[in-house]
Amino acid sequence: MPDAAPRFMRLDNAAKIYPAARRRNWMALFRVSAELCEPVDVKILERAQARTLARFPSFALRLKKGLFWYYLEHNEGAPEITEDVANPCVRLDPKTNRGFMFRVRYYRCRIALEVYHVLADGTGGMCFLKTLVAEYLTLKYGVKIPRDREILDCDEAPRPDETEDAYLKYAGDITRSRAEADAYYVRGTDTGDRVCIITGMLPVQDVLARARSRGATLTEYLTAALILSINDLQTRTGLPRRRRKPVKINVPINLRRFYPSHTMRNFALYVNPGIDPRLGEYTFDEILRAVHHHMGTEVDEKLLNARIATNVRTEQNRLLRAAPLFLKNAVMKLSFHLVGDRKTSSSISNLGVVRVPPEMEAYIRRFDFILGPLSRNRVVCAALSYRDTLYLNFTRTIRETDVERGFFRFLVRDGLHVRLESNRLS
Amino acid sequence: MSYCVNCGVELADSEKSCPLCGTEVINPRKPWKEPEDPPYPHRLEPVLRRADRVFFASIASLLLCVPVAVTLLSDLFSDGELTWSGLVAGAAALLFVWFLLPLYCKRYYLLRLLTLDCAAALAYLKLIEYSVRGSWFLPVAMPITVGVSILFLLCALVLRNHRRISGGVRAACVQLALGLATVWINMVVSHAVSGSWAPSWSIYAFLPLAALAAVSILLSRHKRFQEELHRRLLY
Repeated sequence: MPDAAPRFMRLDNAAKIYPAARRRNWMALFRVSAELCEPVDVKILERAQARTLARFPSFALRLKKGLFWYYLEHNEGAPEITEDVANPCVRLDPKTNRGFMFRVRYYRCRIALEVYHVLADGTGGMCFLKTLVAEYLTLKYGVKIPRDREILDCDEAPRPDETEDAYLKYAGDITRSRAEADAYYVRGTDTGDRVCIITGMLPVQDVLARARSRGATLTEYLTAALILSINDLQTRTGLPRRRRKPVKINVPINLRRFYPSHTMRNFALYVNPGIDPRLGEYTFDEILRAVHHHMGTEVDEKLLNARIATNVRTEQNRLLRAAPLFLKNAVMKLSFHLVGDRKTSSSISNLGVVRVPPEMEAYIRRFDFILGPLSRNRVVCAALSYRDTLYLNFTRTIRETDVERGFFRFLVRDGLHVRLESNRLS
Repeated sequence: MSYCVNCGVELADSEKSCPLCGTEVINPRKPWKEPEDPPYPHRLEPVLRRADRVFFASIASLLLCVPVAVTLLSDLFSDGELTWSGLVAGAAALLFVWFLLPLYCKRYYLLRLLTLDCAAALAYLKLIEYSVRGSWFLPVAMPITVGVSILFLLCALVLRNHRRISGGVRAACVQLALGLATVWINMVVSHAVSGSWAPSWSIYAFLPLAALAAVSILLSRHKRFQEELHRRLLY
């Protein structure tokens, strides 16, 4: 193992809640995948994984229980690469995965990476996937792919700043309350072990043009469309207006945009833009304006820093630090149950534009980003753009498709061409 | 290429029906056929289910039989007849009805199961009375058990069927039920001892509990206090 990789690691600030919050049949997972032009060769993929894992010490870890905290310990070997399944992001059992908290899967031309949020956020996961695919292409076709901070060079030793807890590094000293009202949540019939995926493919330039014509960004436009769909759903329940709940969407913000961090671990916060339907009926433009202004004020380095400080201050609380793990676990479990994703109605995570060097692009047809189902919010959305297509992946663990239907029908009404595919588990 | 006539979206070749509304694709020029490379495989990852409750209940029931069998045999071999071991068997039966029987049910039938719990408790108390040759079952044990069970059942029914009741009002319900149960126990014991139904010591338990219930209701109506409490406890 290279020198820069520590043998033990503390969980980063955002990861601390996940081991306590996991349940027998749920854990916070996400998935990034790349579709190549030719079928995947598993033997070569295994070699590529071994090389990539040596370069990413923050992935070669197992979760261990200490007396006071969970911690991460270096794990030798590599997880077994398995064939893909129809229901992605189903709970990963580290015991049957050689202790690892991520898994690599393949299906025809696709290489998929599913990661437990304890290890990394979407940006870290995408960096791992791009490096893995680059290694695979190099081993299979002998392509020379230029390496940078997004596609790491596996011949180099890992850098210490790639495994840092950036929250601790950049936290300020002024904190900010996290209190906010509970949001409406989408109810439905449980699908059991079926995680339903609906993928929408849209021309990214057209979506950008629609968003910009209204003075908003692509993420704001999609968030507003999702709020509109969920709000319509709440209206259809027939609940009197005064008793309706706010409709808010959890939008993760990549903090690397604000701080010069190159960490491969979690370094994201979220904002919860939304509307309060008790105040009256909202048109799409009104929702978009509310989202735009909310994001405009909240996605600010100083305000985000105050929220990082709040999270770090909680972690550094002396009483909490002195409590044994089983007590901490109980408190965190209760806290996650009472707060968790109760403050939002759904989540939309936009990984942005995925860029790869032209040498690599010739071999990759498509990228996808899928969020695992959340604990309470049963419909979530993940987005990324590659080449000229925007890929929107809806994950659902209820039978009813009302949220996606409202969302995509709005996009169609707005003049966008939407192409759909699914994992056909509805 | 096919479009959903209902939603207006284009559907990938792998879609037999619209994933949004379920409308079947009918394209006379291109009838749907199972694609050679669907976007996802057919294999499903098994999801860990909850532990099999019936299996657990069966194992626990069998384990419960062990101390019962041991005590019955010891009792029988020591003096040739069954005396004290009946109490152990009764306790095991009570544990079974209270804790293991609900595990055999698909859902928790509140009224039926709580009635059964009360009946089991009464039967066990009667067994104890019979074993110790007492005469306290009818005047004391039965009214207390039935009264407390009715209060418990009412409390559970109100809290279960009215989900919109706030946490504070729920706490108040429990506190009031506890207070009333204390008064009822006091009245029954006092009647059995002195023939009078008048409560005495239980007033000192009932009044603080009633006051606590009033405070809980008042606090549950104070939104700002709740938010502050929530913030202090959870943030």
